[in-house]
Formats: sequence, structure tokens, C-alpha cells
Amino acid sequence: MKKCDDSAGKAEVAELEFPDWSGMDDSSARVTQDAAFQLCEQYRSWYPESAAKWRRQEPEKCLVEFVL
Amino acid sequence: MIAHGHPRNTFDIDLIIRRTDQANWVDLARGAGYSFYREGPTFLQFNPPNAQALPLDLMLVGDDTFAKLMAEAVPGPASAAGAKVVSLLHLLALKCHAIKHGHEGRIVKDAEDVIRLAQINKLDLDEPDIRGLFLKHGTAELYEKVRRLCRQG
Repeated sequence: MKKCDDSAGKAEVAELEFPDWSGMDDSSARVTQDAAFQLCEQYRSWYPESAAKWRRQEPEKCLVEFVL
Repeated sequence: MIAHGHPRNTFDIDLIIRRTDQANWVDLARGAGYSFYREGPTFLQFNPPNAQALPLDLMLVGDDTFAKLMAEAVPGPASAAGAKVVSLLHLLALKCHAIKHGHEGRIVKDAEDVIRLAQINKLDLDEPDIRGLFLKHGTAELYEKVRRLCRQG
């Protein structure tokens, strides 16, 4: 398990006060399907190293052929 | 979420801003073609100028909270040079807060984010400070469930 060394940061987290944001709508629900597909591609280009790393971690594809 | 190792897609921009900077941000958003969608005492929501752009949410906080968030913030992706992303612990705190106080419809998504962030970053949920974060901003039930899941791997 990773221990967070940042003890100052952790102590401050407990002191943070957030306001009530419960009245906010889920904005992501207002995005069109086409825009969502485009954005998925954009994220990959914004984080190229992470995208490559995650792709390497994906389990190998298992091809299944049905012969009828 | 992506900056902290959880590869999921998101379809809006959430910015935490100082309440005192609200007017400047409204001008900036309008100048960029965004239009008002919804407003509350603690937030402003905008529609994007076109279908390819993301909706924009401005979340208002006081100077003190903003300063604490900024002090621990990390750099954003190269494509958004100069932008800062809240720290992992602050993101966890925000997600816990959203689960405790937010929309029922968002609980599943936010809970998954909390679990994945804890697992990917291999957080030690038994650390008293992490437990304190969950209890302050979330709930004891959420803490116990995430802790159990993280132990299972």
C-alpha cells in the first residue's frame, strides 16, 4: 500500500470546507453522442503516454470463432 | 480523473474559482461563446458555443478554500498548459463531498471514481488521515466499502 508522504496536504484536506453544489445539473448529460465520440479521441491525444500505458495493460484479445 | 491515473472519459469542464472572481469568469466564458444555462448561489453552468465544445461548470469557493486547493494542485496536461488540476487527496475529498451531498443520479459514477482512484494510486485506506478525509467529506459507510474493496485488490 502506498503511504501518502504529504502530511501537510493531508492535514489540510480535513480542514477544507466545500459549499453545497447539489443544485448543479449533470452537464455531461447535455453533450451530444457525436461530440462524445470526438472527445474520447481527444483525451487520448491529451495524455499520449498514459493512453499508451493503459493500452499495454489491456488484456490480450481473445478471438472466438463459431463454426456452424 | 485522467491526470490522477483513472482513464475515464468526461464530458464537461469543472472549474473551481474564487467567488470574488465570478464576474471576470462570466465575461471570459461569454467572450468564448458560452451562454448561461443555470445559476445557483454556489455555481454557474454554461452551454458550449458549439456541439463539439464541452459544457462549462464554474464552482464557487471562498478565498481560503481556493488557496488550499491551489497550494496542492498539480500541473494539467500539456495541451492545457498553465492549467492546474486539484491534488489526488483534494479530488477524493471533492468526490466524497459530491457523494454525500450531490445528485442521487451521480452517486454510482462518483463512487466508482473514488474506488478507482484509491485502487490505482494504491492508497492505504487504514491511514488515519485518509480515514479522516472520508469521514469529514464523505460517510463512514463509503469509507468502509472502499476500504474493503481496496483490500480485495
